Amino acid sequence: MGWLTKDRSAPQQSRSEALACIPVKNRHVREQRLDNGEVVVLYPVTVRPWMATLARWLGVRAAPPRTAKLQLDRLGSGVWGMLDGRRSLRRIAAAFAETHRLERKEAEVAVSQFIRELGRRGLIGLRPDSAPGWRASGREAKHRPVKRP
Amino acid sequence: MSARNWKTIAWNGVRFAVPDDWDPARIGLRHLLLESEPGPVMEIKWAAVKGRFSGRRQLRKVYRHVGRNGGVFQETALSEKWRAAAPGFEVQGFLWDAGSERAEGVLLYCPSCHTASMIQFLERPGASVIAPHAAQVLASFRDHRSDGRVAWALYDMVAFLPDHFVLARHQFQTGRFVLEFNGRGRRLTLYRWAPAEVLLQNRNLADFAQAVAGGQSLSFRPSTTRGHPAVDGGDALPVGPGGRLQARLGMARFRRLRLWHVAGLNRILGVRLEARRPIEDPEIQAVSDGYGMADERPLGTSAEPQ
Repeated sequence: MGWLTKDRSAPQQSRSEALACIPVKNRHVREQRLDNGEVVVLYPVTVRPWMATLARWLGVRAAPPRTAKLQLDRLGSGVWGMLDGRRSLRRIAAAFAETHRLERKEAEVAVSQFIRELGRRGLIGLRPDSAPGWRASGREAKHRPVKRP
Repeated sequence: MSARNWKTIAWNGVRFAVPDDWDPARIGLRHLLLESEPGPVMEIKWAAVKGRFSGRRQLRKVYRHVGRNGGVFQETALSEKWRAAAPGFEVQGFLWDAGSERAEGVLLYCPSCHTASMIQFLERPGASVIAPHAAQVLASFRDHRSDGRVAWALYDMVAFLPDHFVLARHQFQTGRFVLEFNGRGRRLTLYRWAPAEVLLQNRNLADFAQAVAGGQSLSFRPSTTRGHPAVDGGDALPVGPGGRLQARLGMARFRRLRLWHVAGLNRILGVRLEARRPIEDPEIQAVSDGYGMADERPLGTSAEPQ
């Protein structure tokens, strides 16, 4: 038998700490609510810095920032509506579990995956619970429209 | 017994009770790692032993592993409380300490079913697990049954299947759980989807079965399963001498699929059987009867993991 054959490297942030984080929307993001209750998120997408540099180097005008759309389904729209900058991931997951009568762990995983995906697109930032003076600026810089070369 | 809620976990032959906030973090065929919010709390591995069992050899492997990771390993005598919690097993205790994490564990060998199991309870500074819970978890541990059935209970799924069904594949994705078994020329798949109200928003259960549960080209008829609205579908029986010969030679493939909507719990459950011979109603009925939700009572006491 292969007992303990795999290493369990210690996570950088415990599950408890991660769930205590508060998701905060990027203030450059706009949203539209459709008739069916689903939400469309509109967010600025800028050209990547290395492409801007390349364009400048080639003497080509880089593409102007454009607005991307992300349509959330019913579940995603529900979670998006709960992002008020005050509720922690734990509270959002608990509310999500209660609304849809899901297992607590399943709701935590679903909400975490969704939040991670929003974070990857720069639509939200995560504020540690212990940082009351924190401002949602870290992730915003990524989607601030870049200056044209 | 503490006042907090406990739940039963049953997986591939073993079963035990744990506090309600201990959830599976890693699931293998014969391995479970459970965690609570602060981190991992319990790990269990088990395997059937062929020939003579040497607990000392297994503990040496643990010792080497712990040593490689900078921990200190020690074989210990089991406390009276732990020893009393595991009657009928050959037991050997151990503990290790790696600074940021420590564990106390026990190696169990059951002489009647020849299964060896290693259970260790993991503890981090400030999160006490071992003293309040370990003995109670250990006391609930069982590694075999005597009725030819195997219990499966993880998250909110509970199944109680004949032991010839061997787990081949499992998937626990958000909203979709799948357990696939093989046995006696049958492939059995258990499904569980959630939340049902969203999944059935623009379609009925039969459409869902065709689109998501591999029920393409099957015709479904409405039915009920334990009082829940259900759909039942299957491949048509062979017609003509050629079709009957194909079926007799085992060259055809037959599917039966049953899905039911547990509206009160917002879940859709499904059972799918595949075989090379036609699947009769009693067979799919028996499997459906042994499968349900942990919160559902209709499974009956005889079908619950014990």
